[in-house]
Amino acid sequence: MFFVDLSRIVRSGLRSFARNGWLTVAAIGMMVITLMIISFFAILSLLIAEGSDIVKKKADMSIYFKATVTSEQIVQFEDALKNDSSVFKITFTSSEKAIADYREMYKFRPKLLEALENSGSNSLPSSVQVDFYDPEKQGNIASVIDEFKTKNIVDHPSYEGQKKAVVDKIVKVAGITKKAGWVLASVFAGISLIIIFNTVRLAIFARREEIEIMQLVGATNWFIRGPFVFEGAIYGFIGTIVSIAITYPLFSLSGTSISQFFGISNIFNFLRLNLWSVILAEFLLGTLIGILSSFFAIRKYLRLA
Amino acid sequence: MIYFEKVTREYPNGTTALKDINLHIKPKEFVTIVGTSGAGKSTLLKCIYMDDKPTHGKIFVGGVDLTNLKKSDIPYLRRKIGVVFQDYKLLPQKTIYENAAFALEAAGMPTKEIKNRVPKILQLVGLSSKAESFPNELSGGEQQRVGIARAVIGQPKILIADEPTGNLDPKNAWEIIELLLKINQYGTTVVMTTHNREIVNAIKKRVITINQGRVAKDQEIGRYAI
Repeated sequence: MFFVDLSRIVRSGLRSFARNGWLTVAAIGMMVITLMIISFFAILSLLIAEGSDIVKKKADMSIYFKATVTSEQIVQFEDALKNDSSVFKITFTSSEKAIADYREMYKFRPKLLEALENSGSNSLPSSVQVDFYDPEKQGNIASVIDEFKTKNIVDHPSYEGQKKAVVDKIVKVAGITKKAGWVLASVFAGISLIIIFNTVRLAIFARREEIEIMQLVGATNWFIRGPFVFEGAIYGFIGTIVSIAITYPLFSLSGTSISQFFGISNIFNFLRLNLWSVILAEFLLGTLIGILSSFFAIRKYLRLA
Repeated sequence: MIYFEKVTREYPNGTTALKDINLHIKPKEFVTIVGTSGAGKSTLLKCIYMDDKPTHGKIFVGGVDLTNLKKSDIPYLRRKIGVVFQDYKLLPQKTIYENAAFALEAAGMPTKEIKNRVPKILQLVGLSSKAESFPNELSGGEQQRVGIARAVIGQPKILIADEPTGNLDPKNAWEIIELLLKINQYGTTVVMTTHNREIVNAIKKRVITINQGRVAKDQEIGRYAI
């Protein structure tokens, strides 16, 4: 009995989906727009999250050694840094390497190279670059540096004063933008939900007489509701397919420029890694929106005398 | 089969559609209810299939007291009563076949039995060739015959017809009445409202005249007199 009813509900839902003409198109169109807005903002938020992570990781610190430093002192200092749990990794650059890098970087700007020659052969200090897990959490690094400064081993670190202020600001702005992205995404999702709910309500309003007739010939409420809810689920399902079919090629095409803008080399690795869960989430969301809209929209017309 | 006990229906705006109606309609009867528009005929019929509810009094249908019936029981009551409407009330998105089958599907009848019954009932009303058409492709008379097919396909004990010929020309109207008489001969109780004097006088059946919500006349072989 239950399965007979279920198969009748499914068949009836499919039939009225096919016969409903432009209302079907309108409802699916709304669904597509809703899902596209939601996925657009979701992806944007992910990009901002990734981008700000990368800015954070770029906020490394270079500490320059005094010219008089010995190799034991360098090892000593490096060990002291490594002992701090906030340090992700350290990279040593010798004075010779620094000069070679400088030459390489400015090989097409002879004036800058000349300046280096004129200032004496070994004017670039050796340095150690510190990367943090989180540039906002730097443990006891400052006191370590101060200690070695008094021992006359190192100079001021680069990550101080102006540079630190800029990096801090970028990280802060990224945080705010990320939050704003989610807020906007939820607001748009909310608006779209209301619009789609109304579209489905209109579709059902146009068929309220049908609902009345079904009641008059002795159909139970859930037997009437079933096909409408199933139809809503189809709207959601097809809407999802169409929105994915539009969204993904769009992102793939603009992928490189987006990557460059956010300074991310592999956002599409991220998307690709999560592709199936993203698609599944969209299907669930779309179908759920369809089902809930029909369910609540039809309730009004199911009241018996 | 159908009892009305001091049935009164008042609307919140003060109109009284039915006033102290006492009626007994016996099994296998063919009853015509006549009266001016607004006399309360439709309300009386609606109270039988619970599309309306009396404010006072009791109605029994097939031994069941409708006052005690829960809302969730209404669909099951309606499966035992076939209803034919003046405006046909066919499902516009469903074919003639599907319209006739719908009531049975809703009642949970096995598909095999439905496939067996629908062609037979369409043959009875003479619409076998229109099974795959949609209601808007049919004439008024044809649509009403679909309405009758749908109403009787569940083999109800009672058939209610609210002005079934109201929108039809005399020839089609007569075809509908002949169908109803045939269904009555098979043993179904038929309760019909109409404004058609010619029909009422010709069929020589019981006529109940309603005037301003009250039973004005109740004659075994009645005539149309308002």
